[in-house]
Amino acid sequence: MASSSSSDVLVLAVGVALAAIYLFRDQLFAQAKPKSVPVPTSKASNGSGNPRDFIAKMKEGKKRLVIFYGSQTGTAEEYAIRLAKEAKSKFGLASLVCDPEEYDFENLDQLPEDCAVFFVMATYGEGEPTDNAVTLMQNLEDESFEFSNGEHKLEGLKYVVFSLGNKTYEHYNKIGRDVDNVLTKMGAIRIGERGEGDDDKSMEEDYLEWKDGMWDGFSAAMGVEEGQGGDTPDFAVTELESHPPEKVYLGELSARALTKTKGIHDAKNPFPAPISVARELFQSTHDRNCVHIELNTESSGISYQHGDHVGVWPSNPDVEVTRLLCALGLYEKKDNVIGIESLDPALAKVPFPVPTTYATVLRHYIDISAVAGRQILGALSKFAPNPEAEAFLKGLSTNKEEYHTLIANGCLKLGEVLQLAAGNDLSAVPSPENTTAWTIPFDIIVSSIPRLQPRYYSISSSPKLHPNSIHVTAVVLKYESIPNERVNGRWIFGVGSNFLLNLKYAANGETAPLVATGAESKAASTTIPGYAIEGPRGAYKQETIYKAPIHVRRSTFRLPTNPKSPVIMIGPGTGVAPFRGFIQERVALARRSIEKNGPDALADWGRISLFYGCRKSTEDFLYKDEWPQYQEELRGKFTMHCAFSREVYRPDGSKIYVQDLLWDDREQVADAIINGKGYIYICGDAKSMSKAVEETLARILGEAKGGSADVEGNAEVKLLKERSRLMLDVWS
Amino acid sequence: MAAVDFNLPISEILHKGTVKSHDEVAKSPGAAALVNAALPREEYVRFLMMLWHIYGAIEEALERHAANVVLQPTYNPILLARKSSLSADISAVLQVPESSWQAHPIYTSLAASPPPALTAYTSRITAIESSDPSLLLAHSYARYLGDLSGGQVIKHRTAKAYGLDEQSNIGLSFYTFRQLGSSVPATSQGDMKKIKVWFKAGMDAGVGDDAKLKEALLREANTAFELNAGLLNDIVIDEKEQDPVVPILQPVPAQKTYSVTAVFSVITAICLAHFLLVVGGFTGAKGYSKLLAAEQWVASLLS
Repeated sequence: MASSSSSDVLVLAVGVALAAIYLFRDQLFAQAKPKSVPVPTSKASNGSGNPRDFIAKMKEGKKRLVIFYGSQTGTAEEYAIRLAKEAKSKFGLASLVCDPEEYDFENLDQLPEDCAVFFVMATYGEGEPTDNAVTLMQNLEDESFEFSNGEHKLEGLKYVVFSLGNKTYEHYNKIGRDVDNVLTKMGAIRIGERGEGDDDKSMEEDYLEWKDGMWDGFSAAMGVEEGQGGDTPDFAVTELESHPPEKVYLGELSARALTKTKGIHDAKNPFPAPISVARELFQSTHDRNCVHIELNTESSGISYQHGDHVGVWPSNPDVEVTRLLCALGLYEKKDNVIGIESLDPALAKVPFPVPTTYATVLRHYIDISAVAGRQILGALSKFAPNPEAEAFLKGLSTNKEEYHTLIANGCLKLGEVLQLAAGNDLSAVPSPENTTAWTIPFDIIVSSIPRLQPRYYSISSSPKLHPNSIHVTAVVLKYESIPNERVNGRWIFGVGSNFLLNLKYAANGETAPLVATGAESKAASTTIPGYAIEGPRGAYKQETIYKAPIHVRRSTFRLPTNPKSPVIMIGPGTGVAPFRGFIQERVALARRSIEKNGPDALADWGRISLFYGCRKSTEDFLYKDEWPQYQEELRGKFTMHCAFSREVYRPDGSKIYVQDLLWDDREQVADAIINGKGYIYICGDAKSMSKAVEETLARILGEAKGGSADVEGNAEVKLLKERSRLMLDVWS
Repeated sequence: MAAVDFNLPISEILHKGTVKSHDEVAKSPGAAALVNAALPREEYVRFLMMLWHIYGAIEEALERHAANVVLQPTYNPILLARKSSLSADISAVLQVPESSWQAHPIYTSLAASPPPALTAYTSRITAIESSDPSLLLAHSYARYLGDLSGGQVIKHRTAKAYGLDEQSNIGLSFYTFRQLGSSVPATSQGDMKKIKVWFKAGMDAGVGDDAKLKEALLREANTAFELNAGLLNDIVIDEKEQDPVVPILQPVPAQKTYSVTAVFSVITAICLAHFLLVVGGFTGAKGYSKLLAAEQWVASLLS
């Protein structure tokens, strides 16, 4: 290396330096990177000025109301926001909703005369203020605390109090009352009555009962009139000229889902689970369907336990999406990219991720398949294409009875109501040609239609037998609407279960049969609705495999850990779903025990009884072929009691239901509960079945305790519930 | 400990007899940090992991002694048990499936060298389980009643601080209970109070008039508060000596010193660079002419 020149050394040095910088870049530039420590919730800073000065903020935001909430668990905060929303929708008045901890109160006396202050105050524990209201209370109550006027006086300050507490506590609503008293003492003037909500049972009713009177007093004191605020939008919707297509949400529920970031699958990021099996469970399908679907969860990180629920994320059917797009005059623009911004983020958050498209919002994000609400019809009437349509909607929004007959019983969705009002043909395939376009601003649609929710099903498998598969048992919801003078009876399809039925047909390459022919039914014959089951960007379809977006919701509906405890399960119809999982769970345990301890391993197990019911053993008997095998594996510990309501009758001809079989087996049932410390589970219809079963249980237990159903029986049922030995998974 | 009237029911004895230890715990900086949700995310997760161990110990012991007459009236794992909800929350906050969070560096380092406060807590549970399982009641009292009371405040703050969604409850199930005798989530103070009233009545029924047992339970309840205080002391991190924060979503521990591999790769890179320079004829006059040629080429590209 004698010939090395200065340039050689230079080149080498630069090379070494670059290599070193590259290798140690993390350490060298670490300071520049933001630390991943949680940042305290930033106080909304608006420009210069003292961030703790609420008067300045009100002036800046042209707000005439300031609402302070003393909240510990968030309830008072929710009511504060509701009051702000109502002030806006009723009177067009904007509010500043404040955590009192974040503001100073010296200038409370400077509140301009045309303004008012609201206090929404919770009382905690033994008559104490919530942590965030401690200083506020001290300032108000301490006579030596001076406001900017140099006195402890608030002459003429207009205020409203809503107080939250719990009647089972001694100092019910003490803080709200204290605020009221001390403000009155300082010369402030209360608007309306003081509201008091009892968190023990009637908070919501107490609030509703109080607020109308308060708003009357409020409008008089503030000199404002109702109806001034109807037009203030919550959101601003803009069409975006150009936007990178990969950043547009087409049905994804979160940024995580859009960018496919590694993470877990939950309600914000459902997992597209491939359908491995989809079959019909009813023996006879001429008027009903019940689908059994197995969802593959391999490599998803999703785990579940017997008794958990699976949330399935359906989309709205094609026909309803098209109908509403046409009625809103958005059909041509359906795929335009739109941005939505909240005009007051404290009061209303954009309910779904944006930017998105009109069609996506209607298909994936909002529930347009529900029966149209009465409130929204009134709000939409002013956008009617003609006076007749306007009068029609106004009539519906004011006349409860008419709304009930035409809309509720007729099961009309928003798109259909708009068509009906405009005189369009409801039974035709909707198109821009046969549907009148209304000029309804899209922000109203966004703020007044609730979000499309997942549909929850009780999982019908056990992870012990099926670790990578979740089984769903769903009866397909389909019924006829009640006809009226304007609309004929039509078939109404449940969104979630028909979405699953669609997936079943697609997964098996079947074609959907006609629902019914004209001769059989009053309703127009039709096919079941179609859905965009391939999902956003084809995410739910892979060659011939279809996927359903799902997440798991934990439940407490669980078997006792100890198999010695007797178990009684009552689940007619699809109420049997979780119990198939329960039985599988015990079968898995039995296999292991027998393997370990020999054939007598189940000798000391408690009895497992399943009370099942359906119409006929040849028509709708769910999992008919599986039960005998489970009984064999559980070595006589598992008994099944079946009520076939249209097959086996009493001598007098009346029907036999599960509760009747339970009563017939009362000796065993009472023994299992009282002596065996057994567990009882009820799953299915909440209204009639579950109630009847509970009554029968009370009768059985009352008799066994040598008393009556009403006294001893009910006491025993209550005790069982409190100890989580009687559990319900019911729906209405 | 002030004089205690052991004729009172056990729920009252424990309430009155633990005021001091309760307040000491409540006043500790660790409790303040927890209540104000002021812990860094990874420290919060680490705390949940310690709780997961503790609830595991308590709940498994309760399960084994479910038939114990003292424990039986309050034995209600479906209502009370927290171990599985802690696991779900850890998974949600870390964004790692429930089946694999135990491989996360925060957990592996906790498991490799468990803090003495954690070991003390779990060993105490094991010890009383073999000596006198009835005393487990003092531990369920100290934990569950706390979760039903102060836990509800922590829930709201925690949700705000770590950006968790109270509506969906993801990551917050530890603080969430069902209504007594129902599967509906408990939402109000009243719902919580009913569970507490039920729990206290169950304690009173299980313990009865046994004065000796009452005395032992009071002692054990105070021990439980001390153990919790120890746990909370462990989460307070000294700002000055604070280790660099482990990035939560990238399970790679930050390097404090240059690792052997890093140093070795620098040396290798230098050697390789030198070798290439020499072999490729980039040294001396020859090299200089090549450098000039390269400069011209670059200039021609840019012009």
